[in-house]
Amino acid sequence: MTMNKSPINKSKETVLPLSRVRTIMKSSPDVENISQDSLPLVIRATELFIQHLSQMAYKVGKSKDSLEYNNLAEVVQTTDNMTFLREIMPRKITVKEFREIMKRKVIEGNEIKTQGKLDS
Amino acid sequence: MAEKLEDLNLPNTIVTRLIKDALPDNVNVSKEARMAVAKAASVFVLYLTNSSNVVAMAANRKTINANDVLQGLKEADFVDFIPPLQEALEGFKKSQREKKDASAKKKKDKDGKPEEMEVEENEAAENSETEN
Repeated sequence: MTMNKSPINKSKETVLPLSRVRTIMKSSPDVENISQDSLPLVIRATELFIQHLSQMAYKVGKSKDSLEYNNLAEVVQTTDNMTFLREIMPRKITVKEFREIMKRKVIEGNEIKTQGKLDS
Repeated sequence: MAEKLEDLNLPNTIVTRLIKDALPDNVNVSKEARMAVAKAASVFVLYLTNSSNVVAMAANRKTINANDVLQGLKEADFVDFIPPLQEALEGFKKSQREKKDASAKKKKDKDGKPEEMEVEENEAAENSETEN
């Protein structure tokens, strides 16, 4: 994983709301307590993550003046440490593309079936 | 505790500001992209929390501490975040100390009067944490 050296919020202060982040952390059933200094650390990490993801997505995108959903999905689907986001950020495809994929699957399925018959 | 589902979302305005800070000026971020990043950030919080909690539990501790979070990031393969976070951690500790010193001084000045701090979200959050 590589991180860009560029801007990244330089200030020491965190900007995401403490109480909200704590609520999210505590929504995990296994978590009992969170120490005083781990909360701002998680917040800072999340801020870094937001900026890291945005920069990576901007780089994979062809447009120099916009950031689109599909740029983000592309990064999430191809980066090792982002597997945890794969289900919530699928690549978007058109209905036509979807039909083609399904058609291909049906054909592959038939091939496997006929192969199975030949083997037995 | 989270009562409504919206309580688990991060504020869109702040997330948008963070995105814009990271990109060159005049880059247009689509609404769908902004919402996706905000959602991803919420999931990241949970993911990092769980990863850190595994570290704490392995050490037989019930409280997630700062080192658990750093270790959790390592486990999650976000090692590049660790140096800037270590630096930030020093900053938090320092500002906490300063706050403490300032309030101690205030107390001294007031001489015995019960200490009244301005109720910032920071303060309130820190206090509620030590209770549970």
